[in-house]
Amino acid sequence: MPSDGLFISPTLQSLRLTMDDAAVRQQAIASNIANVNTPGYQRVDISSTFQRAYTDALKQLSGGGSVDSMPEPSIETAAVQGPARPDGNTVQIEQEMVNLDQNSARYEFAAQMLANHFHGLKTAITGQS
Amino acid sequence: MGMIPGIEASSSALDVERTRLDVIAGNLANAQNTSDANGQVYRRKMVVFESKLNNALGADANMGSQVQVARIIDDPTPLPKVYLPGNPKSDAKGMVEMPNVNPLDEMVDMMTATRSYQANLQVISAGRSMFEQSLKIAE
Repeated sequence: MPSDGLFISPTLQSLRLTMDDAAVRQQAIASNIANVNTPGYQRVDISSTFQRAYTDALKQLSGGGSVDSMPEPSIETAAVQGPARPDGNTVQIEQEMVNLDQNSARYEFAAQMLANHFHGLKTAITGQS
Repeated sequence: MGMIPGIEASSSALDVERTRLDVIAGNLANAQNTSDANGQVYRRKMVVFESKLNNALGADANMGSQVQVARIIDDPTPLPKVYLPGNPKSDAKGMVEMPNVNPLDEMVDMMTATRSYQANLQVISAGRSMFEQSLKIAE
């Protein structure tokens, strides 16, 4: 598309990637907190393959390069930070609540940066802020 | 995924904790009930939770699970016997079987259910503020 030059910059791509990652992680955290009392439930998080792909893509983008295809986030059973409770549940509610806070902050930060970026573009196009 | 991430899992948990609170209320109300609908001594009820895989997205069955009540079962622990010789349900020795409801256990369960409910409300609230923030991108 001819107008891609305006909208495909490394900043935008890395912000988009951050938002995708945070949105999917929010689902994983919600699932963990919802199942905190379910016997035998194993906590889930973003898959390790996606985490690696994500950090690689961010490194490429921060060097000013570009990424051919954005990695797709997915959820899988996560590493456990401590022993399972007697009923087999591996969710630690304090850790999940901290993750919830951090994750929504990351998402809102990325959304705010995107909003600023587009606001700047609009100012440049219309000449008014 | 829906607009608010994680809302299906969290709202299923709200339903489940509400059911648990209903069961706890029933246990406490019937703590001295020696004759329920079937004429039997009331037995303490417990809820068993299980995960329900969220298959709404089709291929990727691992996009976070909802929770549901698998079944409501009777607590199998033995019923305590109390010496009440005047009671119409007393046996030859004057002992009456009473419900196996321990109010302290019920109160602890009630606190767990309440905290869990609050935690899930917070998840929904965080998800909604994320969504509202993303609406502002195009403002």
